[in-house]
Amino acid sequence: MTATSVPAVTLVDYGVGNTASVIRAFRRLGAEVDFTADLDRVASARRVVLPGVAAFQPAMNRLLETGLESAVRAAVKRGARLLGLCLGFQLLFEESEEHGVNRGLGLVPGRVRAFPAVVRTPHVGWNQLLARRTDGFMKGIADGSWVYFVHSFRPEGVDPADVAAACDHGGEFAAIVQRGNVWGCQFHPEKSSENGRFLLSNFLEEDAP
Amino acid sequence: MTVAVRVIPCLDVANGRVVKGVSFENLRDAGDPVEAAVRYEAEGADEVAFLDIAAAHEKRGTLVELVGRVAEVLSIPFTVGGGVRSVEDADALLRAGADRVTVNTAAVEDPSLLTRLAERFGAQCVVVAIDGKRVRHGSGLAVMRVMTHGGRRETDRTVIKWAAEATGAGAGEILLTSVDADGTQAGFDLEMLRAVRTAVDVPVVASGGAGQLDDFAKAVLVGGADAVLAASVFHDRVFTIGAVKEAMRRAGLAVRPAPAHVRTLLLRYDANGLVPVIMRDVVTGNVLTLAWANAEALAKTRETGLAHFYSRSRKALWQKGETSGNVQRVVGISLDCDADAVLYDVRPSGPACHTGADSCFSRVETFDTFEPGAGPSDALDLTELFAVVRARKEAPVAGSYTNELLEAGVARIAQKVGEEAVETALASVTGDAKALAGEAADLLYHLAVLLTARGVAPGEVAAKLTERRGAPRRENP
Repeated sequence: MTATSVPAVTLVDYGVGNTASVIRAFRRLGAEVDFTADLDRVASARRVVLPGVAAFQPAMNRLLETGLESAVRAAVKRGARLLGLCLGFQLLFEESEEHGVNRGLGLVPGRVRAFPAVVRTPHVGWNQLLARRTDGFMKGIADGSWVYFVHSFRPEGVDPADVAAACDHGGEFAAIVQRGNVWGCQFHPEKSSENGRFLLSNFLEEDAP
Repeated sequence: MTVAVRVIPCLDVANGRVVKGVSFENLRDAGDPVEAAVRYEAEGADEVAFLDIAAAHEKRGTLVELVGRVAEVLSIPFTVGGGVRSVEDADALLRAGADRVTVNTAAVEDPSLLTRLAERFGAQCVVVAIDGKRVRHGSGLAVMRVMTHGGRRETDRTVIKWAAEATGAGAGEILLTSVDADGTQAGFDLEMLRAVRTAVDVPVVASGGAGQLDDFAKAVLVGGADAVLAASVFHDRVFTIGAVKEAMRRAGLAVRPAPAHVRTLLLRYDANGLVPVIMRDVVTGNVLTLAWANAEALAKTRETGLAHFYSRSRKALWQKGETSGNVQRVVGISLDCDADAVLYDVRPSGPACHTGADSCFSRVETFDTFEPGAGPSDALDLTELFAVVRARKEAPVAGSYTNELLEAGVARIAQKVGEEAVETALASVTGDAKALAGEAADLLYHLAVLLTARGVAPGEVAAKLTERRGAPRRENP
């Protein structure tokens, strides 16, 4: 990457945990990171990242109260590439049942549900991606690649066309979604070593809409 | 698909440095934790654990600063523990970039700390470290008790009840260290692991006692552990992470393979796709053999931790010792300055040469002698001296003074060393430089004979000298 084409990433600051590691991961890839709650900067960004280690409802409320929800929507409408990470990924869907049913951004059809009781929850550790697509976020990522998960809920009823990779924990679930310019992953690419670096650099690729 | 069994190297730290030692008073600096953590990630560690063993005595700031430095470079999860006593302590570590915190003594004293931590950060961030030890009071049965304060203080809690209580209070994971097994290298405490496994649903990390490669798979298959943790076997490079994972994979466990090593991309293979590999005994420094490797042989070596080569005559990959059993455990792989030769540092389990000699370079045969340089240099290399003395010992030569000495025995040689030492000392105060050099040469010669007679390899002396100098360990990428 040349100095004139440093990829810019706008990371939405809405008071969720452990954003520092996401910032560092992008910086290590040579990206310029703007960690901001500024509505205009989010709305006019080229690449928006919605991070998140928090509970669903307080996070969603925070997005609504601050006006960042509209700013993110405006960016997506303009054609910016959006990446939801972990809770940010769950917020992309229509609703979540974490602590009662709450509405999400609804950018990707699907509902966030708890894992079935028979499977160990939270799903913590390294698990394998079952590749469903080979473009975009999954470009160059082999089927069976290991990535790092920490979560207790996952989306259900996702349109198979939107699933770029699945993962199996008590049944298959969407681990990566790609619906037009709206991308998201349930796991933590910033904690997934080499594979995480490949995934995040795909997000930084220039063919961004 | 299932979640991979995690392999977790643990680094004991104090004052921002890795430390080693058997007691808190006898700690030895063992390197930079950030460097070690990065190396572990490259080797395929699934997580790294940091335990601040001096936390009770030290300022917290050092640890938080270290966590920040680690977070800057590591892209796998890492856990930090040691002296976490409050939500504020945990918050500082998590903010600095840790993924999880480990709580031990403070949780035993006040289990509600676990609840407060879980409510604030989520149960998956909270690891309760339990140190268990079998204690027998009177003539009763041994009971597995919870120990605190670094395993030194006995509590009235039992391991099983505390495991259940701690997870009920909010701990999302248990790091179970058997004080009985720790340091024995006799294997993980399978009985204690099973007992805890049946008592809780959260992941259990096995710690303490790893000594053999098989031990890791047993902790999972028999003990029911979800992850395995070890410190010294990884730090001392007895095993690589890759070797442990390979052993677990062979035992049928799901493990995440080590990522392709970036370094080998730099290697310059010859036209046949091969590179020469020099194998060196990491303890004695002796050169053992010269062989060839292709990319596959190198990958296999890294993955298994055992020396693999490519045979040019058989045109096939082979593992050193696959027929003789004399495997060579690789503790480091380095490239030379222009990346067209490789060095394996190994711990041999038997002779490296097919003739049965320790080294393929054991024959002392001089093809050419070279004229020594014009003037005295700074170098003093005793390798040839030792080689000749050793050759004489193995194949006596009639009329050889060396053989005469060796036959006279250690007591006689020791006496000669004493005499030569006195003569050297005298020459240094009464003679000129040339006389001193002559006496010093006599002393070194007799010393070489003495060491050879007693079977002390020159490398052992070299190692001692390095140790005395306080030089850092040779870094292996």
